[in-house]
Amino acid sequence: MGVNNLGYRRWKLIPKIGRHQWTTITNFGVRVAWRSNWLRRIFLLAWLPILVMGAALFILEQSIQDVDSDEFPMNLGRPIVSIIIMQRPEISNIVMITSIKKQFDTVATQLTQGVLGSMGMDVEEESVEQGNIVGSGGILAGDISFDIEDLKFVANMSPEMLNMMFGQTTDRMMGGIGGRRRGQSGQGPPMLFKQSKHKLIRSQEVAKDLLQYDFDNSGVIEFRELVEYLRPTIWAQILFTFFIVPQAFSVVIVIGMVAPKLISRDMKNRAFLLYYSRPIKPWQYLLGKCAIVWVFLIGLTTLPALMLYCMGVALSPSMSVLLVTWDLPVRIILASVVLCVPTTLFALTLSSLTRESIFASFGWFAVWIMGSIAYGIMTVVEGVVRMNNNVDSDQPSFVGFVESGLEGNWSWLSPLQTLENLQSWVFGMDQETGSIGLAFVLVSLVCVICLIILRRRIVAPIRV
Amino acid sequence: MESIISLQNVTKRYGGFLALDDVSVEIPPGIIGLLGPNGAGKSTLIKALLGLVKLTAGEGAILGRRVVAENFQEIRSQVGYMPEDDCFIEGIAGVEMVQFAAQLTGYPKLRSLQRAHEVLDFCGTGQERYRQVETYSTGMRQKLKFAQAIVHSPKLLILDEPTSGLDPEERTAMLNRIKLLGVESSMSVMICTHILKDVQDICEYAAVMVAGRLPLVQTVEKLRKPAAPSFQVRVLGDPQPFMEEVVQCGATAVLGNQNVITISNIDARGDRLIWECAKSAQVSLQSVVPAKVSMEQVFMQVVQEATNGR
Repeated sequence: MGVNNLGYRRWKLIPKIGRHQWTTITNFGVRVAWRSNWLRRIFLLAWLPILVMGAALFILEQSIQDVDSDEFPMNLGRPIVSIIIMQRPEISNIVMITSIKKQFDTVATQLTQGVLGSMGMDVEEESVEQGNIVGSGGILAGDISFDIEDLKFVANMSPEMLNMMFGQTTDRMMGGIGGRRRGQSGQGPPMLFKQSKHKLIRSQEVAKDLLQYDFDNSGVIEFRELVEYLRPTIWAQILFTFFIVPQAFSVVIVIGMVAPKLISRDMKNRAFLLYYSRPIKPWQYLLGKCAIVWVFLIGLTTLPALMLYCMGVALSPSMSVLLVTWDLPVRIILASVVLCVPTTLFALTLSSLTRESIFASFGWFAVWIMGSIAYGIMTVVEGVVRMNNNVDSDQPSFVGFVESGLEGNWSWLSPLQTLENLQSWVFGMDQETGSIGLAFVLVSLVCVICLIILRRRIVAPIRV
Repeated sequence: MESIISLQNVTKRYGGFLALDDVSVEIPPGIIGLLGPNGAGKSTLIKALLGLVKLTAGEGAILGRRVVAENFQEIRSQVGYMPEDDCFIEGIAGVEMVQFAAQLTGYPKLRSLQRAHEVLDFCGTGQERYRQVETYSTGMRQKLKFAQAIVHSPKLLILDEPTSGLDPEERTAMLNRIKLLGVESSMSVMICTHILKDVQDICEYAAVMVAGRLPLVQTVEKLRKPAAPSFQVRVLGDPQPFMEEVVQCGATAVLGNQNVITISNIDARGDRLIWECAKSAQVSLQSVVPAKVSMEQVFMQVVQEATNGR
């Protein structure tokens, strides 16, 4: 007998049994998973985009503070901010409505002058206002401004006027895409802009809000004031991009590495007997396993995004940014939940369906890859069909292609696209693609089905 | 003495198959061997005791607590279970698995690690404890399963085939450990095994399950006691004259292995008859011990009776 062998001694320590037992499973699972060198490397790589996004927020904040400066990094940030602003549908709508209104005014003025002239009346020549929103400096120079009067016009549009503008803006947008003109009555708006009415109403609200931002009472909303108003939107856009571009891929890879082993290996090695002969309930087991994946996902999404936010706030010259972006941490957490919960449940379900973790891994990656491919193929096929339908018309046929892509009727086929739609909603982005309602129903359905399967599969091995 | 396990009319049915058939039993504290042919319902009974399967009918109590869902957490924290199947958590070292088992029972992390080392020392696990469990031999895995079952000092230890896959030396060591736990640490132990010799060697009680029923629970001592007094005698030299003398006295003598003579059908004189026969045959007796029925005989008899009774 070794000197270290004390024989068997009764342990007098009293155990603490409670609902926290799942945390033991999580702690242990995380520790074991973290031993993988590949996981650590991927984790390191997944944190790199935070530097790029952090730099973007820094440049943005510097630009916002001093839009007129030509020094670095303000000169670099201005074009970026301008492009982001002009891409916002509510802003582009205001630009178009204002432009249409000014063209009507011009025509009306010219007609009045012509009629009065023909009547032999002496008419004072009035300069024709061209109504340029974008100044001579161009968009990239940040030369964008709105007249207060124009904004008041947009803000006070009657429903009838709104309907008229709906048709007009639709025509113009379509014209902008493919030189398309749809003036025929009775055809209604094209599918591409089926939500434009909602967006026009949103534009009205934005116009009303913008009226409050004429801080210098100049009668014009300058670029600086416009940026000030859109600051939270731009921040949300950057964080949303962070979530859907680099982090979504890291999440898929990390879940594919961690989750498939979690239940399948326990089934293969009959570890269930070890768990369930302890004071552990099936729901605690499941929660513990889910939380292992969540720890990694929080490390990949929530934590870096919150750090990014904090970094942005810290690097901002003014703490006023806190007042306008206070809701972003909440949105970050919600977006993380949207990403983490369904993906984890689905991955664990695959893991519970097989005793070989490699099959679960294969299934996991196959769903993501095949889903994206199926979505791409169906979108292209729909686009081709629309192109063919437009062959006899005088409209450029590639519009159908664009419509198909923007509508995203098949986005439900792709898990990536479906989650992106939901996250865009969480971040308050007006995505053109897919339906939020459908995405929500789909994700909820997947979660419920996965929970039912998991419950059955987890309890099944001990019932034999 | 308060029983550690008490079952009343317990029935468990898997579809059309009756795994436990109206089992009623009171099991006293101590080391008890649960015997039974394959498919007799031993594993189902253990799982029912641990709350892993829901009873179709009947009720029971373990360590004074009723076998109902609300009590399972408390019951499991006081019961240690060593499954028969090869079960382990892949990717971790042996010591980590035992530590994990202690933590799952509700003990803090560091104290669990300390305790895991202590228990693994007791189980005779050396430096192998730092190896990944999937690389363990069958014997090592048995030790590991045993260690995780006792790490939290259970009041009742349920061992399913604890000595299977062990070499003779390890088997003896394992049985010694079990005996030590039962005798010195006052831990009640239920051993579910096919190796009847193990039950014979270390158990105070034996229970035999047949076709979902538990027809017999008795002390091993009583079970092995023959119906009529008989003795096992070993003589120095030729046993034949001694055996002839015994037969002439009206008793029965059967020569077994290693010149051991089993003498039965002895009249009221008892062991005195043996000494008188030895004197008459002029042989020296090497040993005279009361004969005992082997567990194998007991088992076969119970199974046969139960099967015929159905």
